[in-house]
Amino acid sequence: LETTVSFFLQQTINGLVVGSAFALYASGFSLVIANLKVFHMAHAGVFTWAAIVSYELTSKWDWPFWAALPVVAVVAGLLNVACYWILLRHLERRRDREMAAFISSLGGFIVLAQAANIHLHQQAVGIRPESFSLHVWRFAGLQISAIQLTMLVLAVVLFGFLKWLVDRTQLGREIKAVSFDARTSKLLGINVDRTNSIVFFISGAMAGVSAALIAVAYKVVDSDVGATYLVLAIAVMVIGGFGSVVGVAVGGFLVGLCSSYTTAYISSGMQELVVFIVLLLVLVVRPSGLFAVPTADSRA
Amino acid sequence: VTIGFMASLTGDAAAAYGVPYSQGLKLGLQEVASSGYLSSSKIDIKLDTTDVASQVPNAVTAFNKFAQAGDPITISDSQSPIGLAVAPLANAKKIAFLSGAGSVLPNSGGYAFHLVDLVTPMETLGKRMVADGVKRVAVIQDGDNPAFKTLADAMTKGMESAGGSAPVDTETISETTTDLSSVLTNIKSKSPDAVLISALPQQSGNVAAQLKQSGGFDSTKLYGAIAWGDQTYEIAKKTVVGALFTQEWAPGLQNSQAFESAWKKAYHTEPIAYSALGYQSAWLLAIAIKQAAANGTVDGSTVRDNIPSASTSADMKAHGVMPEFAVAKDGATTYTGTLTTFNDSGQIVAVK
Repeated sequence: LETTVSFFLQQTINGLVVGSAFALYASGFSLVIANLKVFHMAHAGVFTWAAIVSYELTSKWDWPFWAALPVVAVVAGLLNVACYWILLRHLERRRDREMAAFISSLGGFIVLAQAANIHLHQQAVGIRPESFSLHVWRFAGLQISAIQLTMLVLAVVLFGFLKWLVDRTQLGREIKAVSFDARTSKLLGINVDRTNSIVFFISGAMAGVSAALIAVAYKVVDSDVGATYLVLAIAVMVIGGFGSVVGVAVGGFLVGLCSSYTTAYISSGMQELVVFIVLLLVLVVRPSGLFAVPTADSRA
Repeated sequence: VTIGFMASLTGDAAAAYGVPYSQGLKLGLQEVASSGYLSSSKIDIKLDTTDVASQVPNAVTAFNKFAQAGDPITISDSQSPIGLAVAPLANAKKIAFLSGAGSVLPNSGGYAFHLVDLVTPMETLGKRMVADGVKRVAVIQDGDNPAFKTLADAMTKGMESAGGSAPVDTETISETTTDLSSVLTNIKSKSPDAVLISALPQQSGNVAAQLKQSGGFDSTKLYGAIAWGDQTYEIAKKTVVGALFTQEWAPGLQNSQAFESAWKKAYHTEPIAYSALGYQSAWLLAIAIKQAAANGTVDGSTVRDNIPSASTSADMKAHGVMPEFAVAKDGATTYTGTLTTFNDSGQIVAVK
């Protein structure tokens, strides 16, 4: 019995850790959807380039992970802001703005992914093992590695920060106002471009943090790394509810636990099948996701 | 005799297969010419090379060009899809076709030969694992490509034939799986004394790196499938130094010294498995052509008929580099393969 319980708890830890990575990645998508009502595909390209920058700093230039992390976050944030100005900003006045923005962002994703492919010479690259501690803590038959603990703690801290930012600050109120009605917000004196740029910066920085963590945890970076997590990020958002910070966090952990328990008790080859069955069930019971926010209210 | 060569000198297969195979083939043909091996038959071999950029349509176009030119022999360096597309054409046109593909090719007329044996080297590895004292092996295999299950099954067959047991656990992963913590927890619960990773080179490196990072596998031996390569080391670094895996060929074999020194002189690099396969192909065709010429004419049918006997001839043993190499009439090739590992600088080296 002890072994069975210990096995279950270990798989729970594994699921929460991988779920935190899914949630961090999905949070960037969610913020932009809340802000502009656009599914920003180029976010996946930003994620890929953040992983590449992380690789360059930690494995080519031998930077410690903790020194590289803020640089990766800032670079990813700025790249995402550039995506906003180049891919989306000029489309805001179009009547079919949402579809045009989606297609423009999809184009941006393709360009970023191809550029990453060229930069990496169509090869996968490995993260230097010494770039993060390999220490493993063991207790009562369970274990958690340094990188797993870091992923969990950072996810909790960043989601707490995001929740505070959106609910308790002037910037959060401006984001909510712009997402509700950009034109009225402008009449009320809100600098919409500035607000959108900040949202894209935060969204990109979240992608940067998750990409750096995933790169160092799973040791491999290639030009498909952003696309690899894309489908699961969509599942996280749909399950959690579009635009909800708490929803994305809970959705991430739920998807992570589903993946882990499927591997443990059914088959490692059926992870995605089970995740998407859960997604379909959630859509049947709660079509707007577990933590849906009213569309006329804040989406962030 | 002109050989039409559908070379993957660019595209996805170029670096790993196409370029080293092409260089090995050219080196082999140069040695055939300089040794005067075919001078008694008064035959020169010419190589007509077309870069097919690792693409099936380009390969089919190139094959048709060679067929129109009347070439009796064609070669493709790698890529099962190219082999599968060209083999029926080769059989229809009665042109001997040598492919570096691992898949069994359609072969109604017996003209298509695939030179890569994925199974026998994995059986050799299984036998070696039993000799190493492995009793409880866990398998991690790529579920997206059935070839990796075939490789793992061949390892199991090798173990069982040497008195070993079937795997205590088999975990199937996807080529896009990155987090392996749950899989490794499953494996750890079965207390294996060895883990076999049967997946693409970079995915194998990822698995090995996470295995090391997760802890609890310090005394577990690590083995790899024939698919392991430079990318495995690139991802896993020191984690895979000393891990045993198989290759078609690796530097350090006793009968390969002349080939290795000729290669280094010509290209100033270390040869890899596909370099040796190209070199082996050159000698295989030269011997088959010589045998065909001795019996009358050299055309697609006579070369086809002589390839199996050429592959096991004394000349092949003298000039070839791949141990126990044999090509059957049905187009399948067998060889024991070579047990290999990574040295400290990441180079693949043979293990005795």
